[in-house]
Amino acid sequence: MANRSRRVAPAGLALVLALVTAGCNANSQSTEPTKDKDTTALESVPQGGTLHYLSRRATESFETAKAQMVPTTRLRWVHRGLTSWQTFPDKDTILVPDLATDTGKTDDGGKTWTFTLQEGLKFSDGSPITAQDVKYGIERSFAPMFQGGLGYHKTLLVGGTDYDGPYDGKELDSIEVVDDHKIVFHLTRPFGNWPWIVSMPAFAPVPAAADTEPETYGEHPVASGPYQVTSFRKGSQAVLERNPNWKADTDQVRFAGPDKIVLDMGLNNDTIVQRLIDDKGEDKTAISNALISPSQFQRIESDPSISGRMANSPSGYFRYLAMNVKRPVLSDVRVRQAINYAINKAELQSVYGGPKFGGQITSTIMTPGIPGYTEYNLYDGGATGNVDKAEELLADAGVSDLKLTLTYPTDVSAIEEKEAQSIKNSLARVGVKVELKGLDGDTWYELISSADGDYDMTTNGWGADFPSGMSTIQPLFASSEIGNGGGNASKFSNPKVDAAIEAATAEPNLDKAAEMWAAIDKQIMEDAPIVPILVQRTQALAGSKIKNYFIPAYPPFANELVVRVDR
Amino acid sequence: MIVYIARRMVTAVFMLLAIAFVTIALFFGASKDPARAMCGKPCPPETRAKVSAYMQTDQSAVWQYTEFVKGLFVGRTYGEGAQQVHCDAPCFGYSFPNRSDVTTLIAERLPVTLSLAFGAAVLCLVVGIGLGALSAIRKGGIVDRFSTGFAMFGLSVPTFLVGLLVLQVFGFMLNALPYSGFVSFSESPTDWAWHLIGPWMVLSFILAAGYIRVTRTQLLNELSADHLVAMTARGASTRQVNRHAVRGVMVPVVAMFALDVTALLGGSVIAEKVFSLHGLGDLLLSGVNESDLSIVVGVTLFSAFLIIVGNLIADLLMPLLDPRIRRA
Repeated sequence: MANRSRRVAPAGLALVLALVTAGCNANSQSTEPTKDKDTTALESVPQGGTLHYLSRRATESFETAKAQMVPTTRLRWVHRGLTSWQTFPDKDTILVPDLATDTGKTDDGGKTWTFTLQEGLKFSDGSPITAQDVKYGIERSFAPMFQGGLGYHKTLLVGGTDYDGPYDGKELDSIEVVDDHKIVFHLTRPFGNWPWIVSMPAFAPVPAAADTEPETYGEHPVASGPYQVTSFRKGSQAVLERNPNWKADTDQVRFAGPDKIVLDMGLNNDTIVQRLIDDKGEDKTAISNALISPSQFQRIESDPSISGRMANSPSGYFRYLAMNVKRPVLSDVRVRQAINYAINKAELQSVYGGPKFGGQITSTIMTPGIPGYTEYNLYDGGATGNVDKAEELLADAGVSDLKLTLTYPTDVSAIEEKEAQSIKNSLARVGVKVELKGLDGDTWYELISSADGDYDMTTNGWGADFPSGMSTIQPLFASSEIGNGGGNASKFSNPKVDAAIEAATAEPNLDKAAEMWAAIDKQIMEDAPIVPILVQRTQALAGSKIKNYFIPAYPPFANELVVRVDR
Repeated sequence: MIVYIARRMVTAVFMLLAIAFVTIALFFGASKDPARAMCGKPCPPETRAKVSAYMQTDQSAVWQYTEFVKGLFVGRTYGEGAQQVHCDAPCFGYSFPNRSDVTTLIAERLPVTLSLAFGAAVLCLVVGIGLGALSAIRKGGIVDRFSTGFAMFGLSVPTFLVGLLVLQVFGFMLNALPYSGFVSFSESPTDWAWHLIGPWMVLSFILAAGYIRVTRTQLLNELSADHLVAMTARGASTRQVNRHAVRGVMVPVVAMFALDVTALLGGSVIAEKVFSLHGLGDLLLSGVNESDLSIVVGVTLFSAFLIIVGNLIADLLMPLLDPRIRRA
């Protein structure tokens, strides 16, 4: 019975805390939606049992300084952050406080941010979690030995670009520790999404005293979350057991259902999927990060006992065709609009596996689940395209016998090739000849991310790192992202759009920012530098004894922190 | 003999240096930038330059090669001050994605590869020579027909298909073998063997085919050779004749076995991938996928070294098996 009252605590607490924090929340995005927030869609089952995690990655680690994982994944079984994400099967993801008491305050329009830590928090080793530990954790992420993580903070914090981590005794002064519970961040420019940035892996606390062997710290870290690593065999298996110092009433995002978690690493992707389909023995209590291939969908769909265990994302990754506006042939907006009309998106949808598994046809840049997403269609040619309208626009532009190159990566999957072929067929209908140029992934990326890349069009995909238009629109359409490894593959440069992006990025009122991003989305599409194609779905299978397994609208991964094991 | 071995070893060293050069040159020619994979997100040019300088991938292929050779003798240091990582001599490079020197990585993966190679080699010899000998002795019989077909199938079917079939049938359908995983021999010899039976079956099936054919052909040749016909005519027992025949069979089999074992020791990429084993083959694959030059060069050199040594051992064994080679 003790279990029963405990298990509802996080959900109930979430509601109470959200209502309390709403009033004093600088991140006003969470003020309104929290009113009707509840977690009834999540099933309650007794706590306990062992959760198995089957990972296709051999390099699993609990190192936060170099991680790129969103805050709802397994890294966060062990580590907490200043803020975290609360996800719902039927509602948009919201930002909530984690170690902090709120989601951050700013008095100067988003350039300086203050966070206060909850009282009485302890690490697994019994030492108190202080603001200094948070600062040290962030500082570690600047060390050259920890490369590869989500590093938005590295260029935003004052002095960050010249800082090389704490190991030679230097501190980053723009992270100011006021006292044990108060931490202040000084940014180079106003940045409204900072409360989302501090949910990222590098913002997990690390006690400096425990960081004696930085290179292997991630194999046996000091835990702030509900689980601690009790055994770690590199590349093979990690075992997690409860951290006795974690208190459920201080944490609104982690349900901490299972007593124990066994993480098996480096398994063959297809073997994992097959094991989850078979659902035998311990695999009944397993979840994974395996990708389901289109060939497996049919089998899964034909058997309700399997399809019932599959989580399918309502939204997902943005797939689009970028047109290089620097090319003379594509410099006329009417030509780009004509291509928008000409593309047969229905065919592309079936290339990707159809509406149920592949994704939804889209005409906007932002995807559902991102605040500010608004449905509109400036070039509505229907699902299969409008050949007449496209021909009319091409004639208006005085273009005939158009020849274009389309580049794409050949080593990601076989789908890119089929996708390119479909685009070629679509454009052939309006008399545009397309030459396909498949390249290996590295060469392809070097080409499309250089300022003078020799190509007319490329297919591309994008997933936002946090739910804001900033995380999709800025990297793909700001003129600062042309060349030098930037993601602006259409080389789109519009001073008005740049100014609007800058203003929306700075805006600390995220509701207002969401509206600004929605306007920028449409403003860009008026110039038609891309053809939005699909919002690609993602799928994941779970064992038959797993509860609370779902993929929210954003991010396109299951929330691994709320999963429970039914015994 | 000592002069012969010394001469072979000197040639081997030059060959390995040449292989390292070609690997490094190919890698740098392929426009791969390891710094991009390690740069994080977002990756502004300054960060990428910083990462590249730290990993020393901003230098030319020639520079990489000289540093690599130097590292073999005096070790290598990356970064400065408190940030530096050191790779002791003989340093085959440092893998940043794995945050470990390549020598350690190879040593960590070697037990898996050794176990895989040992079982597969034993099994393929037993099956290959056994079936080959039986079919030569009873030429045209049921065993002969079966093993010829078996060999044909083994030679023509790709490894991944056999791997997937074994996994599907014995793992998923019959639930008789584990799908994946590795248990070290010291931990539990029975669990060790239990987890490896699947991949052993796959590799030995593919390899045994060659041994069946060679053993059969060679044994048939030997048995019809003049000296053995004469021996039989003089009333020698079948056992005595066979013993002489086997010596003739051993020469090509040993030469073939030396190459196969060293190839197995270099890692079996496909079998390791199918059964989620983390040996040298898997390490090499991850190195290629992550544009990790150090791993690619290290594992390539290690495999090349094994092949050279394996060939040397085979060449040294030949005269012991066949006096004619000794005289020549």
